[in-house]
Amino acid sequence: MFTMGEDMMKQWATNWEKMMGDQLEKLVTNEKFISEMSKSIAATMTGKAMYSKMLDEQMAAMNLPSRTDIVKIMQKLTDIEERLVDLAEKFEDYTEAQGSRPAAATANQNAAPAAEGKSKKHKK
Amino acid sequence: MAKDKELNEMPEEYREMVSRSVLKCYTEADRRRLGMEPTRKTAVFRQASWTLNRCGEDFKSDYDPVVIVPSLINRNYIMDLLPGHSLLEQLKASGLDVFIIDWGEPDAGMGQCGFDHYISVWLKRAIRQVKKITGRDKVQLAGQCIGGMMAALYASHSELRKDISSLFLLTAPIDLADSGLLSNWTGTEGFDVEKLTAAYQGIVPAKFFHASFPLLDPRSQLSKYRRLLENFEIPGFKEIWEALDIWGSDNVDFTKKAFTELIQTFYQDNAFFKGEFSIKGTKVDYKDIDVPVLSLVARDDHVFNEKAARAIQDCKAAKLGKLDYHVVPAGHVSLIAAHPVRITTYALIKEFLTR
Repeated sequence: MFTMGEDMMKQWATNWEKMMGDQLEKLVTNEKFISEMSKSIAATMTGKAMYSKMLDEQMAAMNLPSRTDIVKIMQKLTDIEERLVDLAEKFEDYTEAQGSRPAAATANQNAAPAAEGKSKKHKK
Repeated sequence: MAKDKELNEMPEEYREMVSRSVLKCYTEADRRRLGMEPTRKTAVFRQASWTLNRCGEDFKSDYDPVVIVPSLINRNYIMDLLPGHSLLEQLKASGLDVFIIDWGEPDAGMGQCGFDHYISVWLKRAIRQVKKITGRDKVQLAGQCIGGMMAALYASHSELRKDISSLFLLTAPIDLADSGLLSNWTGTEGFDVEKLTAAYQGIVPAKFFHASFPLLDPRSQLSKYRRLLENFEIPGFKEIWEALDIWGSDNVDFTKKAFTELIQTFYQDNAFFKGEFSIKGTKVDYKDIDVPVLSLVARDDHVFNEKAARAIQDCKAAKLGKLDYHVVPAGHVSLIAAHPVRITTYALIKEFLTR
């Protein structure tokens, strides 16, 4: 299926793949390399965080909401949604408990005001 | 003549596939063309970013419903990749009523939601909904990868455990010390997750942590396009290759608290294994799991090695003879899709969930 040129290309690709695989594997298992990479990324991210903080201050000086403010509002919305769903569940539980009360108890409860009424009438 | 034509056409299609893969420019049309996610899903509950879906159309079942907890890192459609490569399809064919959680895309407002919240509030709520919908008292809880760890955490809590009749873990880690490259990376000096995520508010973007994922298995990454070319003419190969590539590039953001906990609490402190992680203020211990457990582990897993899952053998269920533990000769994902071994996996799962 492959011509001589294609065979050579295939051989070259296999060699390249093996060599790169070996090197990359050495790299990703090298503790020193990973440690240095982590430190470098952490330093970059700390810089980015400081820049974001500066931007927040600038936004506040202009009396404009910053991303931090928006995230705070979003967190409040998440909390409100959580409480609403929680309340809905409690209400469901309550109505279910009411619905599943023994029929006799419910009947007695319903009958009570009527009986009371009757007795009042009787008194009259 | 026909073969010549085929050979001439093949590289063009191959080039297009490689180009889509390299540029990650997949669209909904690609997913439809491949027939991804063949199982119909109906949303039965929604909150924040997550949705509880009920699978299939026929919900009659003699068994407790199955609730699947997918990983927080990737999309849940790895369970329903393509026809013939779908765990959901198999579970439905076994007569099970299946529910699957879609964690969706968390937003910055969910930044304070960590594993405790995911498990004790959201997963509990999902199970409550399933119980209400099906009228059953208990569910069969299943989880894959980090989702499996979440399911195991749920089953470890004395109160929450009352909701479940069995636990099915798919490549789920418990002991994260020396569990592979990820644990080595997080354990190196200078790996400070607070500093690494200092610039992010609320969520840690997928592109931040997914950049490192190909490095977990560099050889496989380097050979992926060669393997595609070599197997291009095998029926079905290019479809499954592309479906897996779409899934692999469709990543999800993490809430900042969950990401920090995953690294600090679970990887660096190994808190679940040590029984130091608290849910609803109570410390949980996987050794307390006493419901029947099926744990399927991938022998060639590049994310968590077999040791990470082996700890489940110390739980009460194992001592009571209620643990089925199998090491399957496959990878982290190929256990349930793409690899012929998936047929064995499906049979093991079906046998366990329909007991």
